[in-house]
Amino acid sequence: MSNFDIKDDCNIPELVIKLCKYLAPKNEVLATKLTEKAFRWLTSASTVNINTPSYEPMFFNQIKDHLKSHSLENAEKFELLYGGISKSGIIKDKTALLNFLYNISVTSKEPSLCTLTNQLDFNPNKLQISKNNSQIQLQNVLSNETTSIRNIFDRGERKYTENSMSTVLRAHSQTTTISSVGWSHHDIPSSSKAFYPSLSEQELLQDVIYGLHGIQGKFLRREPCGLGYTLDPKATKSLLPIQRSLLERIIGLSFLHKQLKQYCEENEKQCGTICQAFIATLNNELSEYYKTVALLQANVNNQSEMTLRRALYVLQDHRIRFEWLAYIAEQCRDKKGGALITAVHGFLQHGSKTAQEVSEKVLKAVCKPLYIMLSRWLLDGEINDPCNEFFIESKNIVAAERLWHDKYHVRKSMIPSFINMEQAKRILATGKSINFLRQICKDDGQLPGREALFKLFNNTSAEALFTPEQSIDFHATLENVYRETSLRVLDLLKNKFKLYEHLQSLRRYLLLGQGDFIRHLLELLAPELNKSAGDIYGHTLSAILESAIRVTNAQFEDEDTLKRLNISFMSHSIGDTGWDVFSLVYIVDGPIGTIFQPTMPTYQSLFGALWKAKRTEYVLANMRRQQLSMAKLFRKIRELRPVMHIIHILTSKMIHFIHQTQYYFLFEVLECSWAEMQNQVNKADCLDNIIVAHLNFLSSVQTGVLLDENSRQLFSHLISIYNFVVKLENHQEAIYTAASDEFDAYTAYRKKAESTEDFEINTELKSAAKLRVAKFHQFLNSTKLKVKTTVQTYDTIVTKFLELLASSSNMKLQLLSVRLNFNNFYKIA
Amino acid sequence: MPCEMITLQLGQCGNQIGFEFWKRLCTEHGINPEGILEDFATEGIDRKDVFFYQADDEHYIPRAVLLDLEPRVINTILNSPYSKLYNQENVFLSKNGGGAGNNWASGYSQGEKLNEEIFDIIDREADGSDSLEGFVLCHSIAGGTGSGMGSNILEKLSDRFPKKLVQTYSVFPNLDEISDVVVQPYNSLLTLKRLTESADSVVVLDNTALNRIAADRLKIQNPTFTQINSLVSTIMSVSTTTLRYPSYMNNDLMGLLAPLIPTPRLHFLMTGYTPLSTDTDEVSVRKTTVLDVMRRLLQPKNMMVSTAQDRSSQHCYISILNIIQGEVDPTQVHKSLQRIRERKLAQFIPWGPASIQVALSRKSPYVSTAHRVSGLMLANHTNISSLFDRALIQYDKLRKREAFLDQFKKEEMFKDNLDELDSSREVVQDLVDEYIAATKEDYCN
Repeated sequence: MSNFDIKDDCNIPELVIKLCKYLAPKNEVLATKLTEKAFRWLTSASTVNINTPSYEPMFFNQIKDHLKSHSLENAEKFELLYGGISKSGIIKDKTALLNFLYNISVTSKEPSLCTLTNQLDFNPNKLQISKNNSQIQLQNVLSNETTSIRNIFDRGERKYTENSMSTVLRAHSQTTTISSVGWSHHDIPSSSKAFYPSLSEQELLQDVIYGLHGIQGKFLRREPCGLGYTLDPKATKSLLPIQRSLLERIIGLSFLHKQLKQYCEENEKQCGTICQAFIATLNNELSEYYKTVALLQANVNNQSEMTLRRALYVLQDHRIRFEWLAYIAEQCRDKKGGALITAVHGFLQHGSKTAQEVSEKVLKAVCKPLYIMLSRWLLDGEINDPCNEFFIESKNIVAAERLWHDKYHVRKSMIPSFINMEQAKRILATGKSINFLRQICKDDGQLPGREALFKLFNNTSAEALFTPEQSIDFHATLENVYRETSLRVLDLLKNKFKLYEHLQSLRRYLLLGQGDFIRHLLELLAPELNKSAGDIYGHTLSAILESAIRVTNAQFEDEDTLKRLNISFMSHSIGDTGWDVFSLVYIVDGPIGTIFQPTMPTYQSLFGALWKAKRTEYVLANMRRQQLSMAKLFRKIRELRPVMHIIHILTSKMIHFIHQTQYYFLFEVLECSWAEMQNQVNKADCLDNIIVAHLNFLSSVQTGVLLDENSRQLFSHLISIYNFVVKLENHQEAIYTAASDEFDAYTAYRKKAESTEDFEINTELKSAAKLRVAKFHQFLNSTKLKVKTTVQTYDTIVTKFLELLASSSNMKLQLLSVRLNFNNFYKIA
Repeated sequence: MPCEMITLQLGQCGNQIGFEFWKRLCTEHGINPEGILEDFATEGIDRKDVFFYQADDEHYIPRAVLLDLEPRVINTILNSPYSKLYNQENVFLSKNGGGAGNNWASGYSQGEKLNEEIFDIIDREADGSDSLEGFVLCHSIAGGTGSGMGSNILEKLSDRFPKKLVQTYSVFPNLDEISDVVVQPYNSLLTLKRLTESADSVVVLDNTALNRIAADRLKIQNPTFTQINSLVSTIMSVSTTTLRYPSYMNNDLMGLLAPLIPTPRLHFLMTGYTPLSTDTDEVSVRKTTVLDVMRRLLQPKNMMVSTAQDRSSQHCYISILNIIQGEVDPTQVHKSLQRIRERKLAQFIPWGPASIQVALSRKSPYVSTAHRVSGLMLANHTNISSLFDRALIQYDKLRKREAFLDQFKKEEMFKDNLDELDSSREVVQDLVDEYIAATKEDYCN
């Protein structure tokens, strides 16, 4: 008794009364009799000793025999029910229960037990255990009320409260005397609906099956604007709450079904193989579901013991799967290709086992098209992807040189989450390399690593992409194939397409490395390029180029290289001379064009900068040559010395400047950048490495020769220094002409003066000579002044340039500053 | 081929060093003593055409003119395995064969007389060039033919080819030993005037220094001419290497000389070379860097000119060009320059920007040397004037006594007066003064 609280105890008599009432429906007399009997039995002491498991089979057999005598069917039913109870293990004192039931049934009229057995058909899952584990509340589907049987046997003790008994008796009329014989639940009068179950399980089940198929039934109505069903409030007024709840739960599945079906229908027309694969999986799941529903229908049809609970149980599996599928479908809405796969893949790591299973199944399906696309891409470099689902896209390109750069891209949004960017890039590069080899290099040879790849694709399936154990292998093979394919590309470029030789040629010709050729070309071109740009003809320059090649070491160059070398004109505006528009070009096509074509404008600008420096150097060398010959020719004209001395010194400064700048270009810029590029190119394991190495080389050279953005000011300073050279050249030219004239005039005068004896003529000549000499001196003096000013401005501008260099953040430019001011001649701030 | 150079070798010394020079060029370019190109030397990395011209596909002939007033040395050459190398028409021997008797005046006047014949050869050579860059003259300044006839030819060259460069490799006499040529100071002075006024660049080969190097560094007591000349030919070949192996810079003589010579008269260049053979041991041990080479080149012991080491003077470098050959890392050039600058290893002029130029030049692939890296310095240093100073002092000593002038007075130029000597002295003194001036800041004014 100690385990019971009062409230619970009070229920026992009530429950007994209810039970009895049920057993004798519409028969108050019988019910009362039963109640009396039950209470008597429950309170009698004789049952104490039978509460042992050993009596259980005895009571079971007694009941069975009793039932058999009435109906074989009922006996079988009882057997099933007993099986249910035994399995459930919730009822502890089965013996007592059986004893109780037997006693009641034996004393009461025979059919009662049939009902009893029917009503005892319960789903063990639906048993609710109250807070005290020794008491059981047995809920059953009985009219509107709930009948509970409380087992009051606890550790062999049987409790009964007398006072509660009276309460029960008071509550029920005992005057009913109508006795009814042979009732059963099959012939319940329809007029008593308010009290008794009016909707049969069969009917409900049928409706449920309709609902599961997505058809409206008697009780299930489609939600006005939704996918789900609701219970028709009118038709189902009489439903028990438990039925209602069961129905609602089953009907939830119908909602999910409808949702999935709708998803399939909506997306069916959407193109995309991956999307289709997903729909197919959904359809697959749906047909599994239909199968189950069909079985259910069959069960219902042949009057089996199918109930709502069972139906719920049978459908449970689908329900959970559908829930996840619907969830996944929701995540995949408006997604396609790789993005869809990514969405599905997210569920693979889900804590729910079903979610894992479902998502794995879906993932396998959706990865299949991807897997096929991937294999085609990796094996043949082909993309068959009309719906843009693959994570590599192919674009139209204008020129073959752009294939490597522009044709193929990684479509970031379509990369499945199990492939990272790095791997995606590798995959891109592998297929791209195949296309590059086939289309650009015209290489039909066997591609390396194909066998391994073939084997891989033959031996694995789509799940190799995402299952961790397999994907390691998969990616390792990919990595391998990528490396081998890349090396194949490099091998072809280096050996067949002479990458190194082209790099050398570009350096020799566009970056002026072939000094003897460049020098001679300058010499030959100078008269032409001094003309205005409009007056220059391409064929003249081409002819000059030819002859420069012929007489210098360029003649030993590869035939192919020389064919590529040409001259070009940039567009010119008024006032431009040939110098402003001339450029050498190197024609790159075929595979190497991929590396070099995009950089040609950079080469042009580099050529321009280096060519300007070279030209300045050349002008200065010629000035110095003239100075040397002037020193010899006009040794006698002593007046020339002061001005020439100033010019000599200034020329020296300029020569120093230009030579040191050139040495800087050579060692600090070209050699260093070249060494770095060679290093990188040698280490390169794919074409992209080479492209990057080459671009780095160019940009480093650009920075070095002051062509980058940050060096604008420096470059303009440099150009103005170059311009000073031309200015000085003009001064020197003027002096040279004047000195030659003076020299000739003097020589002529001497001759005349010597040849004539005439004093008068002599005087005339003398005065003329005097005038001439005075004029010459005047010219020299004014030129000297001009040159002196030039020296000053030159020094100022160089100092400014050095200051800019010294304050530059670029280490290399600081080095140039050191070079140019090695002996600290310029005092820089 | 543009930028050709014509070599004129005069007198005993000139022909000897010329002979060594050509021997060396032949090996470097893979040309055998008969002028035939070796099979292994057909790649076009070098420019043979600067100093040779092609008679046919594989036959190369030096652009060389051999001149002498006595046949001894030239005959030796013509009896050597290299006899077929030269164009026989370019070998000129005076018919009288008596030589110049170590007399400048004799050499000069003979040169004057033979002028036409000599310039026939030179003109023909010049005409055969596409774009002649200039002349290289090999001679000594102390003897008779090289100095006297050389002076005459220098004058004529600058008249006839005023726009062509004239570079000389001039051997200065050994002052450590008493010369048997007593008029050497006169010869030197008179030649120096021509070198100052008519040459564009003079590479000074100082026998004093060469002999000292042979004795002190190469441990050769009483070095032979051949040994000394081999040193000289090394200097000559390396100093022309940038012309013969094209690269980004210094592809013509003008480009090479322009930064070295600031004003037309300051054109006397000294040379330094490393490694001199006894360096072998230290060199083979570790890798030679650019810095090592540059530092050694700045050491006086490696200089091929014996100049008085006057610490108190303001003498300084006007310019330096280092030609480095062999396996060096071009990216190290700057670092080396920086070091030299930090350690103030070289003193430069105060009146203009100056620095060390470094040219990394290719080495002939056909010549194997003991040293992986070698360097030649061409430097314009004001201290070279001490050499001229010495020449002036010796001249003055002799002149004060009016000694040994008879020989000179026999010749046309000195028949009436010795003005030529005086004017030469003046020119050389001017030169010395200019070098001294070049050590001062106000030189630029």
